[in-house]
This record gives sequence, structure tokens and C-alpha cells, in this order.
Amino acid sequence: MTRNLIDFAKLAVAGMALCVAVVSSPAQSQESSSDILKKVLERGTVRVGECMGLAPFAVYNASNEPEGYDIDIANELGTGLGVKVEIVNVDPAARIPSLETGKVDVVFCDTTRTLDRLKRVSFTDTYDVTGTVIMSAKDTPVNSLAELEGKSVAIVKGTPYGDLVKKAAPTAEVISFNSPADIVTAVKQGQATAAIENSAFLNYAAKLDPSFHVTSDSVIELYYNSFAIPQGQPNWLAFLNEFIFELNTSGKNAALYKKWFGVEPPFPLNPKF
Amino acid sequence: MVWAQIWESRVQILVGLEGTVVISAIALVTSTLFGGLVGIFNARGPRALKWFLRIYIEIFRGSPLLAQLLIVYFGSAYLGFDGVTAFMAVVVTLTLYEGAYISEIVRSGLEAVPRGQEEAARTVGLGTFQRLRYVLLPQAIRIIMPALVGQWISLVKDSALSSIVGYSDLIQQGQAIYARIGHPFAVLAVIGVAYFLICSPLTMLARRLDRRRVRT
Amino acid sequence: MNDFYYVLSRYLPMFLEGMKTTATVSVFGFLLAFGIGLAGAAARQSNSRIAAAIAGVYVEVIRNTPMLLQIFIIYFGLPSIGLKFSNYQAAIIALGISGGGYLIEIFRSGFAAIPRGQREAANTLGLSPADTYFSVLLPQAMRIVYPPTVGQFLQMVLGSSLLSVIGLTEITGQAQLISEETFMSMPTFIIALLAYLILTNVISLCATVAGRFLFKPPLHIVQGRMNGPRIFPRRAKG
Repeated sequence: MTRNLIDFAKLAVAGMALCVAVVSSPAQSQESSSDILKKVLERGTVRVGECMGLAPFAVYNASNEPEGYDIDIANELGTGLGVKVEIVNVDPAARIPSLETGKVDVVFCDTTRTLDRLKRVSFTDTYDVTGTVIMSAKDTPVNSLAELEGKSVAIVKGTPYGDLVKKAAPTAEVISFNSPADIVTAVKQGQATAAIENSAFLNYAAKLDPSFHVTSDSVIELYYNSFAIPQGQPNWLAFLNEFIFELNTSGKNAALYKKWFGVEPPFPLNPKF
Repeated sequence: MVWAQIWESRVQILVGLEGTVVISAIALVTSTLFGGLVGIFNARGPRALKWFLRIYIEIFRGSPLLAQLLIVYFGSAYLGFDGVTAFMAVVVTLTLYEGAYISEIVRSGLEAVPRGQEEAARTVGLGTFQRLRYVLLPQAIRIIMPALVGQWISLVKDSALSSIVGYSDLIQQGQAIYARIGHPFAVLAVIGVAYFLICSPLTMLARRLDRRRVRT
Repeated sequence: MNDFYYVLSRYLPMFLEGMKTTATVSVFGFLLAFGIGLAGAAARQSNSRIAAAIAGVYVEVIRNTPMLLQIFIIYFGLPSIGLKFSNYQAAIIALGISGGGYLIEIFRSGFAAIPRGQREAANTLGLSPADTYFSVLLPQAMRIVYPPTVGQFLQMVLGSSLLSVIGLTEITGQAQLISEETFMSMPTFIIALLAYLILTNVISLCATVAGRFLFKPPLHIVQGRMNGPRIFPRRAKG
């Protein structure tokens, strides 16, 4: 152990300067106000924000590689742009801040368009239409929002379902978890009577585990889910919209959906313009 | 068999192990350097600075690490800082948080050196800096080491919070594995063993240092 | 600054609710930890090698694994071997088990610090083991362990923030929900931080004052001299 205090101090100052430099110079993010499309093409990589753990949209397989419906679409996007794809794991609650601070170029995560969110980010056209369903255990089934009165419901932090439940069933106890996988575990282990999330995710979970019961119809109006991008990006928005248009009209979207969910898309997208 | 499935997921576990080790090692260095400096200044610096440092220490020791991490990670977005990744947020927060504890360890170590040493050094004509370098710190280090290693162990455990902001450490990977294959208890037990293997040597080191200190 | 007042005025009830939950689980968790601590310390001292070994292993496991992991195991892991807890119950158990591991060590060193002479004198006087324990050893040990035990309780209050990951509506969990609704993350989490600072300092102050009254002679927690003005009493490290 060195007893040389001067070296220690020099090392300390250098170390701290290094840390300050590391922390304050964002390595990859550029000004989020400049053109993202241009930046992506220059950089040669597109950073796609994904909520890993939302099966089968995006999960890590045993070799720790991302795979899933969203991942395949992201790879298609990379091909369309002619760049590499970098998947960045974002928390559902951190989707919007990640865009605002330039951590990612686009967020998938099966994000729903809402007016509230549009105040802070922009959305592309729809790439996936889902309903909202309630999942419960087979022996204590819940079939509508009203039936949630007095029961415990698991939701994911940062999703709009909490308010939805509170309005329809004011005496329901809402438990907010950090990740979608947690709400499935909570219902499975009986720590929550029900879980409410988008239909694609919960139907898939029920397919894997027949002990679950899922409401067959969407309990509210359909959600039209899109990619989210920072505001003020007309070129990026135009590119992504055209990308989604081609994805739908070529049938690729439906094919990928069938590959990962095992069924035809329940709400098919066939833009005719 | 559960264990076979976990064995198949060993890549994910190793990624998590690497994540934990990397972030712990880096935060260990930065927090020790930072905490060391703060501790030295708190013991020997000007009065105004000590007052300021004391406020810093009280705030960071009196509030939870998770709240501090969320402030750094999400608050940076609110303040307009671009590109703060989970990794950066965790390193910064751990540096400040563990640094506060380490600074107290360093400070009390310096204060524990017998007064006579300092007085003798002053009589001989050594300046403050030289006193620190040649007389106080070398003797203080023996007192500081056990507690410091103990704090390092806490740091490794505290690094687990990085999973909450999405960093791929052991816990995050463990969650990903049992989301895929189920059996949360078995998977988490394996993760626990991994942490145990990292922390145990440090604990034994701390104990040995403690015993040596008592004997001298 | 406006954001700060906005969050504070509209969401104060939620924060107070959170503080109530934090305080409740911390107190119950501490009671559990205290019990585990006493039992474990007794086991470590006892003649039964097995009991001492079990307590020893328990302490090692707790001290070498992160509390976050312990929380996950108790809430998400145990159900797969049949033990199912609500998040409230899991919170108390996790805090209790974690704190208990540290309190075992604190109590053990507290008892060890009592001079041998005490036990020998009690023996000479013909006191029974139970009498020795309750009238001679325990009161002296209490004095020694009081500051670190209070420190451990404070660590539990701070550790309760981790319980937000199992959906408990304590301070940090409430702050996360508010932050998602309002998007004003900085003011919200700063208020949460202040809530914890208030809690820990109030508890610390009460403990110091209580220390003067509860013990005879009054227990003055030793404060250091070298630093400048001390704003808050220094807590002993647990």
C-alpha cells in the first residue's frame, strides 16, 4: 500500500476529474434537438429502447441475446436504415424520460398513444393494436372492471391502467410493480387477485400457463400502439411511418406476429392508402 | 430439472456477474477516493468547509440510497441533462452515498491517532500537508482499513439497486431468468450464492484486519 | 420552484400515507429483528454447538447478500416452496430478518463487552443463571447496545425504501407513482428525501433524549469534539 500522499492526492484528483468527465460528457447522445435520422445514419447505429421482459415482445434468451416480436421489427428497421441495431433496455416508467434525454432514438415497448404523452413525445402510426384484458387465476376469475371492487390488482408502474381501475372500481387495491413479469408472478402466486395489462402480453402469458383466466374481450376501447420518438423530428417521423406502412402492407408484420404469438393478429392492420 | 435449466442460463448469470463486479469495482474506487478526500478535509480543513461537508454527510447518510439514485437517474432528465445512463447514475450515486460513510471512517481514523503524534510533528516543523502525509495517514490507515473494507462489502451489496434502474447486474439477470423459466426461488438462491461468493472473501479480509489491529 | 409547491400541495396526503406505511413496517420489522437478535445472541453463547452454528450461518448469509435480494426471495421466491406473503407481510419479514442478522452481532458483542468479573461475582453470590441474566447482564448490555441498536433501526427505516419494488406504498413507492403522474421527478423525489431526513432525525433525537431518561445513570451518547458545529447527533455505526 503506497504511503506517498502526493501520489495519492494526484491520483485522487485525476480520478475525480475522470469521473466528472465520464459523467458529464454523454458518450453517445447528441443534441436531441437536431435531426435524429441524420445522426443515426452518420453513427451507423440505431438505438432502440425496449422493455426487456415483456414476453414475447422483448426478452433475453438463455445466451443473453434479445429476442422477440419487437426485436425482430427492430432488426427490420436496421435493415431498412442500413445501420446496426442497438437494443437498450428501458423501464416502462422510464420510456418518456429516455427519449427526452436522448438515451435512445426510438422506443417500441408496445407504447400506447395518449394525449398526455403527446405533450412530451411524438408517436408514429400504429404497428400493433391491442386491447386491455384482465388476467386472474382460474379458480377466482375476474371478468370485468367492476368485479375488481375490493380485490387486489397488479399493474406495471408507468402505465395508465391504475387510473382506469380506480375509476371503475374505487375500492380495488392497486399494487404497482416495476416490470410486467412481476405482475404475472404476483397473480400466479396469489399475491394479487388480478392483473391488468395489454391483451397481447397477457394472452401470451395465459397461453404459456393454462392456470390463468383472461377476459376474452377488451375491457376498454382498443389501444393503438406505436413507436415513440422525441418531439420535433419530422424526418425521423416520416421515415418510421413509411417503415411501418411497408411492414403492414407487405404482410411482414402479420407474419412476425404469428411467429411470436402463435396466432393471427386479432386486430389486423391493413392500411389502404 | 430446474438446475439443468439454470445451468443452461449460465451465460445470463455470467453477464450479471460481470455487471455487478464492474460497477462495484468502479464505484469502489471513486467512492473511496472521494470519501477519503472529504474525510481528510473534514478532519483538517477550514471551519466553513467542514460545516458544508457535514451537511453533505448528514443528507447522504440520513436518506435512502434508492431515493438518491432515483433523483440522479430521473432528476437528470428533469434538469435537462442528456444521456445519463443507468450505469452513470449508479456510479455517481454510489460515489456520493458510500463516500459519505467512507469520509466518516477516514475522519475518525485520523482523529484516533494519538494527539501527541500531531503535536510532535508540529514541533518538528512539519506543515499540515506533510503532517498528514508522513505522520497521521500512515498511522490512521491501520485503524481505517477494517471499517473501510466493511464499507466496501456494503457497496457491493448496494450495487444491487442498479437492477431497479435497468442495469444488467446479477439481480436483473436473475429476474430475467426466472421470468423465462419460472422457479424464482431456485434462481434467486443461485444469485444469492453468487453474491455470497463475492462478499465472503471481503468479509474474511475485514475480520482478519480487525484482529490484526486489535493486536497491534 | 413552482413545481415543488405544486407537488407538495397536491400530493401531501399521499406522502403522509407513505410515511405512515414506512413507519409501521419499520417498527414491526424492528420488533421482529429484536426478537431474532436476542434469540440469535443467546444461541451463539449457548453450549449447544448446533444452535451456535445455525445462528452463525444465519448471520453470515444475511451480511453477505444484498437486502434487495432478500426481499425478492421472501416475496417472489418463497411462494414457489409454499410460503406466500402479501407485500405488507413480506416487508415486515424482510426488514426483520435482515435487521435481525445485524442485531445478533450487536447483542453478542454487547454481552461480550461485560467484564468477566460481573459473571463471576454473580456466581459467587449464588445467583441463578436466569437471575444473573436478567438482573446483572441484561441491564449492562442494554447500555452498551443502545446506540448501535438505534442505528440499526434507522438503517431499517432507510432500508424500507427498497420495499417499493414489491409494490408497497411507502414513501419511495408513493414518490415513484407521483413522479409518473406529474413527470416532475426532481421535486417529487427531493420531497421524498426530505421526508426520510425528517423521519431519521426525529427518531435520532428522540432516541438520544430517551437515552438520558431510560438508563440510570443517564446515558449520554458520546459526541466527537474535532468537528465544527454539530447539527445533528452523530449516529453510531451498526
